[in-house]
Amino acid sequence: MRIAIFGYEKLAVDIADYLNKPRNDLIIVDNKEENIREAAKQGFETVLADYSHDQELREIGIGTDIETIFCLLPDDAENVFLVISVRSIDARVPIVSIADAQDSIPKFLAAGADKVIDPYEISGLKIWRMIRKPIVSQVIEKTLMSKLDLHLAQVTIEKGSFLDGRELAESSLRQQYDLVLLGLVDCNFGDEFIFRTRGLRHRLGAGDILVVIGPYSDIDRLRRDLRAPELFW
Amino acid sequence: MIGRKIVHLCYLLDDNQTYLRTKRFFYGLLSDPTSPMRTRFDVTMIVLVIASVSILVYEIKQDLGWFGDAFEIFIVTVFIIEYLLRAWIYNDSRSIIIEQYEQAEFVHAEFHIAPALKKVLREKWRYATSPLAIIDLLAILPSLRGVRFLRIFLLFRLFKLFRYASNVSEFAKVLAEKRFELATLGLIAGFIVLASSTAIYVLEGGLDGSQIDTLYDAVYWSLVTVSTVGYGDIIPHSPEGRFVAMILIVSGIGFISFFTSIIVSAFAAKLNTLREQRLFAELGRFQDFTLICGYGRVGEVVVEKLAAEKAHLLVLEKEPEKVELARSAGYLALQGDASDNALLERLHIQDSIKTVVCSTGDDVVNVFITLTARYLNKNVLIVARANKRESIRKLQLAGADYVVAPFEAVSRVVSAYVDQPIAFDALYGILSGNEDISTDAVVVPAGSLADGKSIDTIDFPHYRLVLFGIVSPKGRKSAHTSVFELDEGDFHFHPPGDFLVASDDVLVLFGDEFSLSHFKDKLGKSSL
Repeated sequence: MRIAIFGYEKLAVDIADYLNKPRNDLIIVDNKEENIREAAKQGFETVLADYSHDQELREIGIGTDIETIFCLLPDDAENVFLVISVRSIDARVPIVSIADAQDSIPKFLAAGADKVIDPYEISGLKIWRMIRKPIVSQVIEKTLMSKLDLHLAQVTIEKGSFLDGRELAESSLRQQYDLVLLGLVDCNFGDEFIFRTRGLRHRLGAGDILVVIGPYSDIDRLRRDLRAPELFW
Repeated sequence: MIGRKIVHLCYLLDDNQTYLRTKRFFYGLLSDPTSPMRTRFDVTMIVLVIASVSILVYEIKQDLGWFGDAFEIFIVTVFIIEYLLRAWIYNDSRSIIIEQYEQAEFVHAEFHIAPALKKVLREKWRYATSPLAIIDLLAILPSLRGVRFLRIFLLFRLFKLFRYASNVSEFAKVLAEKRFELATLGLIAGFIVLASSTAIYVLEGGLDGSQIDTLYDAVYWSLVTVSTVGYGDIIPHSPEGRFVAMILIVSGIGFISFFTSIIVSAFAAKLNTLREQRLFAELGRFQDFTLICGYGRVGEVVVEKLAAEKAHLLVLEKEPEKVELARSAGYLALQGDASDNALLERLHIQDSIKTVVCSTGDDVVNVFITLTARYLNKNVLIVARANKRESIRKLQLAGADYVVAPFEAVSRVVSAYVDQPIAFDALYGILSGNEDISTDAVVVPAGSLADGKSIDTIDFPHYRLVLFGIVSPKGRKSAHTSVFELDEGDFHFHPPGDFLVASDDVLVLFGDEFSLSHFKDKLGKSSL
């Protein structure tokens, strides 16, 4: 997948590191020379560009071959402008942005960002969880957020697979797989995530996406059983 | 001979535990500002003083008979005992004598009791001449029935209230700080009053129909006029006198506003200190404060979540605007540099603060706060924010229990988005907790409905909860494979339906807030 990362400072450096996997084809865009030099040193494909010009954005490949865009510039105003510029060129490409201030989140959404992440909120909540819910915090850190074999994954139900047309009855999953089913997205009801306890009487259909937690092998097995060719992380 | 006896007695007292304990007790009762006993004593004394003044005032026209007398005797006895006790605990006379004696012994000089006693008396005299002691003494006087004039010393009983109310003494301190301004103002006012009263006396003193007979009348009139009170019982009759009055009225308005502004500005300047004092008093009341150093975005989120749970918290921030922000949001906030050693010490890190959060955007400051807090208290829980990757290790070395790195927390989530946007939503929901999903750990009480039951019998779906896993003490035998080690025990992920839950196991559950609290409630009630 071809991914463009705008900005290579602070957070962006780490995010780029995380995304730097064989299946991802990264391109780092920045308008500061020293950031570009730093990124090049890490072996990334880089472009020194003034992203306020549509022409330069097009040259990077937006609207043609870029499949996901991350806006990780240090300033909210710049990020919002970038989101709008990209959206005006390509109406469909997924855009993820980080927000510095909580008030700017609605602006990002209005500008056309698909996901807005507030890094400071996540960190603040993490600190709070460590103080008030130390066990929950440890469990999350040591399982979901670590490199251990426990993953949060999405699995799509294919037409004609064994879950197609069934009710969301947990027992059949629970006995066969070592997986916790968190919830699902019903393709008939938009793309909103429904937590499991909210949609108990739900009838599953082809195209629905399940979100599960579990070890690699079980997720893999469920995917194969549902004949989903998708990759996981 | 007498000298030796006295020295001997002093040594005896110095060794006597009962004597020392008694003295310490009375010190705690009367003087020690941190003693809770003192607060109770002060309140009692305030009540007694007000009661005695009320009775004395009432008795001016009515007679209360034996009750009034008895009460007065009782009050005076209490006051005298208090006065003597205060004189006693003011210093340690025996130490003075012992010190003098030992000094003499040391240089092989002959010991004389007279200079030592003189020194003792000088110390006690210093007590007797302190303003509060004088007020105490004068407060005893009004009960001397014979001398009606002494009744006015009744007022000193009211002054005695100062001793017991610390806020009032704060007011006096504020005034004392503006000594210079007030003295200047007083001097000018005194001069004006003197000049105008002389003028009016000269102009109207001998005039026919004039109300000013004596210089005393003139001063009285001037003061009444300059203070803008203006009773109007004495008025100038001549045009010259009226001219003096006009000048006096105009300058009077000036004085009053000047005086008011001095007082107001003094209090405005003192406001921060007063606020700080209130804050420190508040700190002393509880032992479970969370100190949040740095009220940036991260600090703000932590504070908001903690405040929603009614946890005791204190915000420490360097920038005044952010402090104002925290205050206007209703939080206890203090402006100050968190890397200031003395400040952290004053905050009772030892007693009042249980958790320290270093959430400033500067890693150098975070490391410093962590070090200081750890140095001051071995047991405090320290959570620090690392803004750079290389700081994580340093913060751990400095003594932080947990280190949170915004970049790390976020990059994991963000990278999930690329392949699995839906799973990303779920993960983000779990981490931010602002969706319907909340995660909580529930301890299983002994004898509750979950104790000794299998997972299937507890039936979590019925409670609208999803079981993530169970934390049990290390080494529990289980056929189940997905076990992760934590500090507190083993985390059994997704245990099978026949897994037996024991008391003190911790259930880690997903669910909405309402379902979680409902389940906790059920669990708690069933164990009773």
